[in-house]
Amino acid sequence: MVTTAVVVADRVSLQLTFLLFLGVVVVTLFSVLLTAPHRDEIDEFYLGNRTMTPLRNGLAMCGDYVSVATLLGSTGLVALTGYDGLLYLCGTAVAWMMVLLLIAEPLRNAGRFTLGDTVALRMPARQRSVRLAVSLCTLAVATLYLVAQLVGSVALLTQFTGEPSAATKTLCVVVIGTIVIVYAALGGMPGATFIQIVKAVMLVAGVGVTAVMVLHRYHWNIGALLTAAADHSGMGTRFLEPGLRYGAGTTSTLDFFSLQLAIVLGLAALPHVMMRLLAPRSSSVLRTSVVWAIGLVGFVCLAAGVLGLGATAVVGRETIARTDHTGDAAVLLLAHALGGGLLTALLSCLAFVTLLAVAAGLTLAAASSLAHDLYGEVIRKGRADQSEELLVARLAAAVIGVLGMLLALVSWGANSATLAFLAFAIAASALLPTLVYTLFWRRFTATGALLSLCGGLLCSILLVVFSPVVSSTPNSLYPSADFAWFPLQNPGIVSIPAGFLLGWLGTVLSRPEVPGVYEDFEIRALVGAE
Amino acid sequence: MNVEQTRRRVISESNEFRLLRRAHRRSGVRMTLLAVGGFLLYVLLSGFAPGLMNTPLGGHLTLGLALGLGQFAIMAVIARRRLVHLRTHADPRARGFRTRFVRRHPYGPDEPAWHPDRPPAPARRPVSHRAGGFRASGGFRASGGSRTSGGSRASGGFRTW
Repeated sequence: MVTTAVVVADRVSLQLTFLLFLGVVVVTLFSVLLTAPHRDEIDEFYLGNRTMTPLRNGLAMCGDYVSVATLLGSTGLVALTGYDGLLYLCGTAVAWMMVLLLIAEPLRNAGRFTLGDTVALRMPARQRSVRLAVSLCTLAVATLYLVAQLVGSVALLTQFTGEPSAATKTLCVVVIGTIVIVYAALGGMPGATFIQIVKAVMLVAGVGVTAVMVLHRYHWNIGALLTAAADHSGMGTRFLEPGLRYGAGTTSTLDFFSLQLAIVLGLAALPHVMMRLLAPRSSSVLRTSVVWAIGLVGFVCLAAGVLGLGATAVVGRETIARTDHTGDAAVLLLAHALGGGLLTALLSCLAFVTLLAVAAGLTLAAASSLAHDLYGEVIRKGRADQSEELLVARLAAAVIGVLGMLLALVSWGANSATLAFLAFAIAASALLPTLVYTLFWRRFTATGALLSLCGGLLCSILLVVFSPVVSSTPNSLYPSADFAWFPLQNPGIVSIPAGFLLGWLGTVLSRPEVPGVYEDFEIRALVGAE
Repeated sequence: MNVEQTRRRVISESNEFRLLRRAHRRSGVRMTLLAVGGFLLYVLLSGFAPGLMNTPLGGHLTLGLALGLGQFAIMAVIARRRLVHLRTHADPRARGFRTRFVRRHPYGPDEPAWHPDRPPAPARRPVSHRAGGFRASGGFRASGGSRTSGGSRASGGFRTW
């Protein structure tokens, strides 16, 4: 969080930001209401417009994926730690490869609305308990990530007003949370898609233009940019060498590896990204969409790298670290130095819209899982009709939004990035093993699924509770207590193998599922529909 | 075991289907290992062999920075190769299965004569009409209208038309 009350922007750009943001919100709210599903059909609410072009789908995927943690957080890390920060951006882009190569097409061909549907196809006899567990894990991941976005909104506000009062913080969270609920509950997937596309276009344009401005300043000479960044970092060539952030010994290097593992593997199992993969009507459209998403995310990551280096080169590392020791202010400081109040306002508006869009996607994904898996299949045992399920989905979106707001209000001390990384770790250790085994392992059983879902979830949460994140260091939630026997801040390196191992163990120890089910599933997943 | 299940078993054990499965899996796993494994190796090297990664390549560009940029190039190459691979090895086979399923439809599900490894019987309808008709039917996925619960879909499996 912010240590000093150095304010990035002046009054004019704050007002400009507010006006721009208000404009975008009003326009998107109207569009959401116009595109909202008019009939009581769950297909439309969960999947949205299924005839979109690959480019639009790719933009929506990019919008779902790139959160404010990447836009401000990772860029700030590049500005503060150089090489180690660039590694983050690299991992963010590489994560899409697994989606393209292994997950996307079989998941779309065999899936319907949620991960629960796909897993239920494999284990029809015990689908209720498995759906319950999937729904629980989805809820955990989505809520954590949602809280991270809402906490991030306050951090962003702090950039303008200095340390805000408790009332301002609450107001900020409540306003953002309410807009998110309206998007998700009324708009459903069509609404969320619209915002994602708006946001992705703004994002690509915003970071693209700013990166061009940085490169232009250094006459399109990367070498000159690197030299200037190293010179203004206050540490010379060390800035462009590994180890500034995670070089304090084996533990911290392993910690970094653990984090990268969670980022690279967690993406494929993020509930809102998974829902997005199910939307295209044909697998060839999906394939092209994912390739578009890879291109767009890759571009955004490269541009963010240029922005981070540019921030150090233009503004200087000292100023960035003094404004906000997490580096979140780097992009806005750079924008102020390059383009004055206007560019600052544009980029801060972009950051708020990014936050809003990701939060809306997450709320929708969690609400779908609650309404479809938990209510429709577990509680009502598949007897709920469409309008009933739709009503529950809308209510669930409101409940999750309110839950997210409450959690964000009580977790001030939490770092937005830490929460997001925990969400990635849970997704990679609880949801990913089940997803991979479901798609590819003939023998996989319901017991294995339950064990890996619950075990992966518990393992990652417990490891974080007993890590330096919660106790024993000055930056912890409880700095005075010390029960941190797990040395790493990121649980992935242990909990991801644990999730896979538990799934294997549960499967081997249980009786096989009904024969023939996997054959059906595999034909469906591989042959698919045009 | 009913006729429908026997038919699925025959498809799933046929040589053609095995080739389709291999076209998806083998290259998918290899390319994922290359992309994700390569990246994780790069992270480990940056952590534990900083000396190697600091080898200068001219100006401020070091081996580490070059490899970082290289990740993006590798991603582009792999994505391109995957698209080409699927287009040449997997898509024609998947399309073949779909076309034959559609053609089978008029005969009813318990027709015993068809086998996936055998060349299909001559088409009854013109090709263009068949392809169009199939696309309009929405393929495997239940679309629109009637709600099928997860349970019935799970047991029903492979039957949309």
